[in-house]
Amino acid sequence: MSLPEENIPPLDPDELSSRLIDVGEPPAPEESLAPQQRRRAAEIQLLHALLRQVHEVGNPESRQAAEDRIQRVMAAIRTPPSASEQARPHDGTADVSSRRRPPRAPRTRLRRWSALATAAAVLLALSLWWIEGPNVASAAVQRALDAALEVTDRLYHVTLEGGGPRPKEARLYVHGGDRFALQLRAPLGHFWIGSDGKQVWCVPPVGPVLVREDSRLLDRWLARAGAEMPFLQITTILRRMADHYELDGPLTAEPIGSNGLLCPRVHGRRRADAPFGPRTIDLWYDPKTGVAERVVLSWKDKDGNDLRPWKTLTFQREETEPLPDHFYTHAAHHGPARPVLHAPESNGDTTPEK
Amino acid sequence: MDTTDLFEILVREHADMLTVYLRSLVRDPALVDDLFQETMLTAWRKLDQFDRSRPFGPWLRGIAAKLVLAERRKSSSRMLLCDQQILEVIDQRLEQVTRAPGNTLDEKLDALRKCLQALPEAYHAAVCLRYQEDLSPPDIAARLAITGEAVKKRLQRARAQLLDCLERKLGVHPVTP
Repeated sequence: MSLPEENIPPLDPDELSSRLIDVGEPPAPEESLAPQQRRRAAEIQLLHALLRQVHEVGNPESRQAAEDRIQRVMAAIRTPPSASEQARPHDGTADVSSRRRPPRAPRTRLRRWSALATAAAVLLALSLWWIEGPNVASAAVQRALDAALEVTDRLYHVTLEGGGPRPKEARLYVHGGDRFALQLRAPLGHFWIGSDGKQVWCVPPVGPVLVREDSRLLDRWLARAGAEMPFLQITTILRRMADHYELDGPLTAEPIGSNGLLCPRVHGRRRADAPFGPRTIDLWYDPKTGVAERVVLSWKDKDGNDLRPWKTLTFQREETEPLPDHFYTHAAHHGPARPVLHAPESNGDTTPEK
Repeated sequence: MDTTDLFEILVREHADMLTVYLRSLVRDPALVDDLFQETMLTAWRKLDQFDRSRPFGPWLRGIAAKLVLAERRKSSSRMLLCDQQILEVIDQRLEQVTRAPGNTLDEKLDALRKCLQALPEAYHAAVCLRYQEDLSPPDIAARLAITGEAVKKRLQRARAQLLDCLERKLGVHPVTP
């Protein structure tokens, strides 16, 4: 029973929690704390757990331990129990700490069977919930596409191999499915090519800025920038992958990017009836969010021969801060004095904006 | 479609959140691992009872809370402070964190990172040694050439400042269970 608040000794919950967290002193009975003190202790304990989480990010050992926890759960679900294990009684709460890993104790494995009894209902619930498509691989691609369509800023480092003696590199900023800005290095500065969702535009290092409503002009601008790329949008790639590729996966997770995030991979092989596109597309995605962390397009045939001037096109996600609203407009990438030319749709002539 | 593959995606999505929840209640890392597994397996077994119109995270924490309380009844030596009110406060606070901007729990914790950077140097060093290098207070004292009592005070005051800062950054209101 809780004591009346006015009779509670003046315990300092900050000190009490710190002693418990840092020194490992046995906890005082919770009843000895007033409600306000308990609330404060709870917040400090949560902060302690969040601090551990923050400092574990980027620590390979901690990430592996987190992955091991997940693998143990899935192994316990997937491993059939023995007959003796099935005979053991179980309830929902008893004796958690008496079991050790790995392998997991029998009682947990037994639960697989009661779970399987509900598999049909679960299947329906999950498929209605957010999974589309015939299998997990296509669901993962669809999820990556949904994530790519989210209205948020993401940055990809793009590397195009082939079509020249050295790989070409670029930075691609995307914002949902219709806004992007591609930055290419050029002899006199940077080329910026992008779309604000309504118009496409090109900001060369020197000369006038070009703006047009016909997105087909992008190919010409890319050629002018010395980087003929067949795809400029992650969403376009993922849509083609979902529609025209035989998918396999998820394959074993691999550490991806500078922070070593463990990402499962889906491998896509172009169907014979697909209109065009790379021979294979590989997608590594964040298992928690579905966000495409790396996408590799390859035009090599099965013998390793190049089928196009380009060999591979790689998109590797990088961290970026939220960008200003106007970032996907041409005006964000040039000074106010630059002339802006709107090209008419019919003949490619240009009309000065001012 | 393989149901276990689908469930694995759910497990991965909520693994960090569940680990944080358990660590805020349980001191023993081995017991955190056991409760993590038990919670996920219980969720798997009861998945047909899950109301899919509601978020998965709070449901998972509800399962974990029952397991934690059962463990607390057996022995308190491996636990932090833990009763129904404390569970509710942590659950509500964690829910507030999950509503912060960002795709992952890690991204949602950017506010806490900024608060860490704003700590006075002496406090920041103590927190880094405690959490990044996982040192005990005596080891931190030796590293910083200060007394063990001073380390405890620095950690305690650092946490108090971080809590204040986090409340401001997240714009959360005090929890009233």
